[in-house]
Formats: sequence, structure tokens, C-alpha cells
Amino acid sequence: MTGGPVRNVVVAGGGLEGWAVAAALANSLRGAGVTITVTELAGIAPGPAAEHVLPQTLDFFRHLGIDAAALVQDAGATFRLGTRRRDWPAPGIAPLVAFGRYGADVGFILSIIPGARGCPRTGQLFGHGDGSERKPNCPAISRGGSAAVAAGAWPVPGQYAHDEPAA
Amino acid sequence: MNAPHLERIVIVGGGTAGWMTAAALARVLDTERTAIELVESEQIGTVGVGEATIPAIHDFNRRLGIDERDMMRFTNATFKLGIEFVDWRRPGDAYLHPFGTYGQDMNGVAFHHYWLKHRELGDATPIEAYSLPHVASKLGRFDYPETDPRSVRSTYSYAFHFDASLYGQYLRRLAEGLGVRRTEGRVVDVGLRPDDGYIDQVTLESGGTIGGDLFIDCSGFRGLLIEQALATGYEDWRHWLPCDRAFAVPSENVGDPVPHTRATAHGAGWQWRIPLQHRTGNGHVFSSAFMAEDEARRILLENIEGRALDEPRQLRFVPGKRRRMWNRNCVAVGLSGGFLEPLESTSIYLIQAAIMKLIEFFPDRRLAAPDRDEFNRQLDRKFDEVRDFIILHYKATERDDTEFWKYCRAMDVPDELARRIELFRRRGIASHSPAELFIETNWLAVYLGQGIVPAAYDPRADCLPAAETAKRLAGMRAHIRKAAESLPAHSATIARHCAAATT
Repeated sequence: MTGGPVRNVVVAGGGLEGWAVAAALANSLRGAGVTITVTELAGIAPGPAAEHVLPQTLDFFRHLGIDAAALVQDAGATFRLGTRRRDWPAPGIAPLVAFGRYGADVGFILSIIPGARGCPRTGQLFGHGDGSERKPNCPAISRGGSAAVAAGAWPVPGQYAHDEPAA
Repeated sequence: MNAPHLERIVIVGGGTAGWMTAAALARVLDTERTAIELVESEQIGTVGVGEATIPAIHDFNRRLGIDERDMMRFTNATFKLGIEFVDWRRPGDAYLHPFGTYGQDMNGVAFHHYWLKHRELGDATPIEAYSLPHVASKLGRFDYPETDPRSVRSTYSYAFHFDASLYGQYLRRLAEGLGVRRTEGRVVDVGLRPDDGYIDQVTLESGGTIGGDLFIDCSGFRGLLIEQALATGYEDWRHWLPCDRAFAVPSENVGDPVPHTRATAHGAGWQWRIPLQHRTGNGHVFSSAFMAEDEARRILLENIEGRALDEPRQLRFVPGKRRRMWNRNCVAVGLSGGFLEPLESTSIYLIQAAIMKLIEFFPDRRLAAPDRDEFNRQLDRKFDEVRDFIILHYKATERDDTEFWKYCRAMDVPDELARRIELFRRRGIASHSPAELFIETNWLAVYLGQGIVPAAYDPRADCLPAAETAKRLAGMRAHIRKAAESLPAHSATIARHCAAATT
């Protein structure tokens, strides 16, 4: 059993974790010749009846091709924007920890510098400005219209088969 | 509760680092509240080595409100799509580190895994054929990228070659317009406060003094404040980067400037070629432990293309980093903070990183230690990151034709770099952290260019049938070729948008 690609994966235990692992692997390795087997274990208590998840879980759903709207219907889900704590950090206080950011950054740098001048751009402070980000971080031409896109069009994934490569 | 703001910032040294700092600080501070003074002497030359940049400079220029084309005309700038490395893997070999991505990721798997798979299946197409900036650069073509992610012209970025001294002068105009006061004079003494050893004032040759709350040391290699006055200490990296000398000389242009920097390896170092609109910058970086100065000078002059316009100027340096870039009330920006050879054109980037971190952690009059420590920690990481990326070029080589290259091949490298090389060698993982300067595509270019080919590819690349993958790869190549050929010549784009008055 040395060398060569992994051909068989056994997931010991079903439940939420087991099936999530199995679904993700099966989805990523579809067509790669890997067999995935889930063995339900006897005598294991089922997981919690209700779960709450973080916004990052939506990435996982997307990866699996799960339609979040359908899931809301099928699984009786509700939406969640954060967590309200009750009596924490002190009795009578109930702060809401929300999924989101506060306000918008202002100006060139942080607006905390007294008397700072404004700047037309907002955005991250740099320090990790990058040579080759996926999107150009440099001045770039923005041209509307399909003609410009057609001139240099990248085959869009998923539509690739319909995209005739240039001769 | 915010403490009182700083009343006076003194910048010592007016080279590229000094004026970049002055302009950026003046852009974010109210100079009526916090005075910014820059002291420089016309008698002291500036180094101005960093004539090639990386795309990160766009962030700096944009935040300063610089009109890019105006700046390019003033600094005789050309466009840059990457760096060509000649004779690094072995004599006769060449590759380009382009500012852009290779091919297209498919089904969530990075492109290079498909390329690796088809290489194993017998497709000998070099990965360069999937890089638009590479193909365009080789054809001598350039135009601005596009924003539409569906366009292949959105897959690259660019930087500049420019005269760094003129860039400094350009920023000087900007800084003075924003209220920075310039004083001509040579600093002859640095006065420390007796109680805590913080810098109190600098004394000029004329006898005048300038006091301040915060001092920025932009005095170059010698570190007039950070080292000579504060004895901060220096980490010497010569065991990893043996080059410690350079000769630099400008030459006449031969033909139209190409849109890339060239770095050609020699017996004990390498030579840069940086094409500007009006001349070409050249320099030979070498190790004094492995090559005599006369020989290094001769090699430089033998390998320039046009007529030399001056006598070669010598630079001496110790690759490494100041132990604390920010010590007491002094921040070292530029060569006073550390030096890494310009193999990946990072000199100006490291200046920029220091300035932006200083602004991010900008102090009030308390100059609190936690801010300073965090600044130092983050800048240390930047330096380490750039250092490791440069070391990779020396370590990963098949060259054994000189003692220098034998040393580099055999030397130990930092643990983190060794770990990364192993990860790539085993199965092509080149993605480390999105917060780093060099990301997957940069590492990939250098790993593959230096001859490190992964033993295996991501198994998920097998999900797409080989015939379908082959068809898509061919489509990508054709798109890129066609897009590159449709771009105007680099010189035509310069002439159209940013030709300097003198050319």
C-alpha cells in the first residue's frame, strides 16, 4: 500500500459530520475514481436535533451545490443574523453580536488621525499590496459592451464547451 | 482617551525613501498641527538603485493622488510586466516571473495541477504559454489591463521602471505643496535626551538644530540615527544571501525598451537590466567573498548592450535587517532599516510597507510600546517573506559551475522556506497566505522556473476527463496568443500616454 493515489475512503460513522465529509469528498472527487463508503455505527446517539451555523457554512453549501433557499424549506430552517447574549457580561445586559461590519472606513488611512485629510479612495491599508492578485490592483480599463469582452474573452467556466477557441 | 498629538516630525535624508515618507505623511496629517521637516544635503548622493517596481506601487500612488501618466513622463518611466531570469537554473536557461496568473482554475482546482497532469501525459507546452503578461512581454507589447473578469486581459497587472531619484523629486514637489519644510544641510550630531535616550534634536553643519517628537531615519545604509546614534543592531543575512557589493552603470538604449526587467546570473551574483525611456539602468550584484571587484566591474561592462554613459559606481551593503525598525522615537525607512538585493524589485516596496505600517500604527506623544512592537513584528515578517523568496532563486538551481553556486546549492535555508519547497515539490502546493506579498502565482513562476517540478498533482484534476482538459488547455493558449498579438507595441503605448519630454 505505498505510492499511488488514494482509491478508497471509509468514513466511520454517519450523522452530520460523517455525511458532510462524505458529501464534500464525493463532490470534489467526482470522476477521479475514488470510492467513498460511509459506515453507520451502531449504538451511536444521533446528533443534536437543531443546529445553528455561521455565515461561512454558506460557502460549504455552495461548494456542495446546495440551494440555500430549498434547504430553508426542506429542513425547516430559519435565518440567523447573529447571537444575542442574555445577562452576559452582566445581568440585565443583552448585547447582540451581529454577522457584519461596522460602518465604512473613511479616507486614505484611518480617520483616527486628528486632522487627517480625506482621500478619494477607501479600502485596505496596504502593506501586502500584491504583485499578482487575481484581479489587477492597477489602473485598468473598464469598457462596457460585449464587443470588448469578446475580443479578449476568457472562457467562462461552465460555459467553456460553448466557447470557441480563437484559431 | 487619545494623548496629545505629535508636534513635529523630522525626516533625515531626502532620497527616494525620505520623499516618499514626507509625501505620504503630509497627505494624512495636517501639517499645521504636526509640522514635517525634511533635512537633506545636496552634497550627499542618493543610492537610487530601485529603479524597477512591483504592482504594489499602484496602491501608494493612488493613495497619494498621483496622476500616473504625469509621474511616468516626469520619471522617464516604462511599463513592466515581469522579471526575466536568465541563466539562473542553469546557463542557457531563461524564465519569466510575470505579474499575472497562469491559465484558468477549473472546478475549484488551481490551473497548474491540470498543466502538471498533462505534462505527465506528454504535453510539453511550457506553462508560460498560459500567461498573457509573459507572451505579451516576449512580443514587446503592452496595454493596460481590463477590469471585466471575463476578459483574459483581466489576468495581469503591471508596474514601472523609472528613475527612482526623479520619482523622489516628483514626490518632493508634492510634499512641499502639502506643507513639508525642507532644510538644506548635513547632520553632524544627534542629541539624545539624558533621561530616556530618545532623540531630542539633530545638529546641522551650519550649527543650527532641529528638534522633534518623532524622527524618521532615511539616511541610507549608514543609519545615522537608528544605528550611529541609537546602536539598534543589525541582523546579518550573508550566510543566506552572500552578495554584498554592486557596481551600477547607465547605458544608452539599444532599440525600444522592453516591458520587463532582466536579471542575468553570473559566476558570483547577477546583473540587472532596467529599460527606461531615455537610458538603460544596469548593475552587477556580486559576492565579495567569491569575486574580486575588478572582475565584477569588467563583467558588468562586458554585458551591457549600449554604450556606458558613466563610470560604474560601487555600492557596498550587508544584506539584512535592523533589529528594530522602530526604536525609541526613531523609525528607519529605506536602506537604514535593512537591505535586500533588488532581485525581485522590492526595494521601493519595502519603503512603502514601512511608511504604510507607520501610518497604520501612527503614534501620539506617548509613543506606546505595544504599537511600536506590533509595527516591528509586522515589518519583520515582510522582510523575512521577501528574504525567503529571494533565497529561493539561489537555493533552487542546477548550477555548480562556480564555487559561489556550489555554496548556494548546498546552503541551509530558513526553516519556513524549506517547508514550503518541500510542500511544492511533493504535490504542487504553492498557496501559502493571501496576506503575503507573493502569492501562489509568484511562487509558482519561480519554483517552476528554477526547476522544481512537483512529483504529483492534485488528484481532483482527474475529475475532468483528459480529452476535455486538453481541449480547454488548447483554448486557453489560443486565447492568450491572440490577445497578446492584439496588444499595441510597448513603445506605442508609451508614446500615446506618457512619453517624457526629453525623448
